[in-house]
Amino acid sequence: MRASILVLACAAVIATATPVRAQSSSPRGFVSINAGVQTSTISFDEPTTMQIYQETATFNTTYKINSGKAYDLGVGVRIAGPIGVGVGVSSFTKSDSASVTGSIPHPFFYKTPRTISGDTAGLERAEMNTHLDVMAFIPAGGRVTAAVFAGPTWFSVSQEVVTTVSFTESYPFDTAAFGTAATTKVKKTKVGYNAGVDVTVRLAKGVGIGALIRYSRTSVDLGVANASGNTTSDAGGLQASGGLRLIF
Amino acid sequence: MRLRPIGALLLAILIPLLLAEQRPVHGQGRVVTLTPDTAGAILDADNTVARMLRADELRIRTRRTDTLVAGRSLEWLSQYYQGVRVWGGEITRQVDTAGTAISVFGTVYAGITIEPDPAVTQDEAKAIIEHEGGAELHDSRSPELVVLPMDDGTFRLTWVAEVMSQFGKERIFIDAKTRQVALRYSTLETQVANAWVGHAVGVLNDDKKISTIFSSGTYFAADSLRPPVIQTYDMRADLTKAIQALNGFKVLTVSDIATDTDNDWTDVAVVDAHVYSSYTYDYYYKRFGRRGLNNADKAITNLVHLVRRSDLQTSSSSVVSTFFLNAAYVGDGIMFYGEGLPSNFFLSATNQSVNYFSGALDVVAHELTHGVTDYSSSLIYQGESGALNEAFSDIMGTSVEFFFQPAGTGLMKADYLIGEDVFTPRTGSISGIRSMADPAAFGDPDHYSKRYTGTADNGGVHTNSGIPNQAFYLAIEGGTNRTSGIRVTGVGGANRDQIEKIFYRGFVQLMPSNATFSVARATTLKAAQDLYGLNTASYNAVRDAWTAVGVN
Repeated sequence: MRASILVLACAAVIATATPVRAQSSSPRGFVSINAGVQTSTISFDEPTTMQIYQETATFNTTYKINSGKAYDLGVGVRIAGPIGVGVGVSSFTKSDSASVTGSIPHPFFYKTPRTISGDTAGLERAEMNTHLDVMAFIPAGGRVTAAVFAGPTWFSVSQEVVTTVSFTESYPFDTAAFGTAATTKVKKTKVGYNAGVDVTVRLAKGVGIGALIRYSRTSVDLGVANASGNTTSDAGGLQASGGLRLIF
Repeated sequence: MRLRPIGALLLAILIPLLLAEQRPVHGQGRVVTLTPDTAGAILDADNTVARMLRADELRIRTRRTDTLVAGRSLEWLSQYYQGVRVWGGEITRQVDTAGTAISVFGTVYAGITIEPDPAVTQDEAKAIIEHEGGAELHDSRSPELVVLPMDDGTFRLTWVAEVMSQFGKERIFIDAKTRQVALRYSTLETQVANAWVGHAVGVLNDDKKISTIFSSGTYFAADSLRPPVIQTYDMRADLTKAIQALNGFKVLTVSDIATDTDNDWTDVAVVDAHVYSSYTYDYYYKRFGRRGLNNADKAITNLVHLVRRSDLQTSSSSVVSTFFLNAAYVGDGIMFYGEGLPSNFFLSATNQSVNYFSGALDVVAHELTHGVTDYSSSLIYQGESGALNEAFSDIMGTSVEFFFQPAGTGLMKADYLIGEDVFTPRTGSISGIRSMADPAAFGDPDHYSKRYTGTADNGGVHTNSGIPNQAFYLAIEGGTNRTSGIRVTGVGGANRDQIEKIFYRGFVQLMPSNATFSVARATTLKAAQDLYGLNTASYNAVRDAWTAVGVN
């Protein structure tokens, strides 16, 4: 809904904008407000083990975070010639399902595991990433300015993860079925990087529209309590967005 | 079709004659065996059954839904004479949903003319049986008045009860007129939520899981994961207490159940009795859909350590033979397992060491199968029916082995030897106590012509079992019977389940209590026909196997 409003606002600005004289030099800076999409798909596994019936039960939850809406708010300031600095904050939130598989020991016999599988839905993934960039402002002619940037990113990742898998079974226990999965949210921070380009088109004095393409990346060990190995998830990805520019 | 009215007419004439003839001669009568194999003959036999039911000469003992063939029900009917049960007079009948008889097998006795009023009271008979058996009987095990058919064709009105003593378990018939013992024979069916899963080590030092119950800081050998109550009691060498319990005087309590402090069980006799009896329940459930001994989750009770190995040399020979060197189903879902011999002792006859009897899966399954037989065909533990009783326990014991263990030779391998995991040779000689593949290896007959006809061992129940055992083996594995030279094409090990189901159905669902080998052939062939059809590979294998062992 917010994205729709932004798009409508941008369209209104475009429709009502009055052409102005082209500037021969890049603007001093800009504030950008963008809405778009994070196109990357992230998947990672969460292996867990537990002791059941005198043996080790193994479970694996595979999370797949599909593309989804992303928002970005940024400021770029030219400080010396075409070089400047920028600060941006991007957010990404998505609820997806995860598939759970398990190998559960038989209560009567060693080395006779039963397999289970199932899905658990509504696992929320949220990223709030802060980017500090060095920027190069490149006049592209007319009212268009491009800013190429790169720099470190502080990722703050929140992921709802499976903590316990329950299953159902009954005599003669030769099969078992996935029941439910208990979940909890884990939050981790990690430093990574980002790079991208922002293209601004000035529509009127102090106002324009722009497009942003940013690729950010890091790997975060979510540190799930019951996990038997690293639960490492990529964070960030390729975001493409567009929106309003306040130019100064 | 044209024969049916004629057959019915003949039976209508003959059966009443058979049932009524020879009245005056000291209650002497005749045996009428029913094994009809055509639709017309089955209908005629069924009409006879219906007439006897109306006349209260037959009563339905048990009726169950067939778990192997949909739409069928199975009935066991007992013969009665003027309100008194006739021992061994029994018919099994399977009927379809329309009530039409599909098969009728059994034996009834004709010409019973004795006076049914006893001169000896039940209490007097109980006292006599207690005296003869050497142990007291609880009131719940008081004698039953029955008409006993004798070998000479006469009948006697008798009181019968089973009594368990340190000398074994006997069924004793007391003449209800004269107080004399009319018949006695051993019925020791022998071989020579707080659920927790623990780790256990068995008799052969093998790791396994054990289902237990945890309460008050202690783990008990009581399985709560399976439908029936399965408990294993440690008698702690208190033989007197064990015998009292077996006779219904002493109720075993929770304090008698074997326990462990950390659920890591090391009492190997307890472990294997508990685990292998559970496996046997699993086998019957998975293979046949049967729920335990009585198909209604009858409790399974295992007793171990009735004696102590270190007491071997101070124990009487009867105690040694019964409680050191045997295992038994003693009725009411109760088994006990012999203690075996100390490691430096060997059987002189076979040069074999003897381990805890619960350590062999086929032995445990054999004993529980006696319980299945008790609650189904009730094969009389004497003569050919007794040999069939023994054979069926061997057959199922071996089948359970093949279900849970890999085929092969040696310890904990599925084979056609009985008790090979308990009776192991010191040097050279063969393991086990019987062989289904080669009964002669243990001196047992592999052909009807070689059957034992003496009176020992209840008429050779452990000897003549070799004949149906060999038939079962040949039906699966194929081969040539050594005596007849007849070659059988077996169904192969991959299809062993077919033969197992045929024998299960034939023995458990279609067989009367007094079956002969010939009746066993008929019931198993009928079972093969029911399950797989006429002239199929499994039908032919069973037919040819019985022929090869001389049973027609």
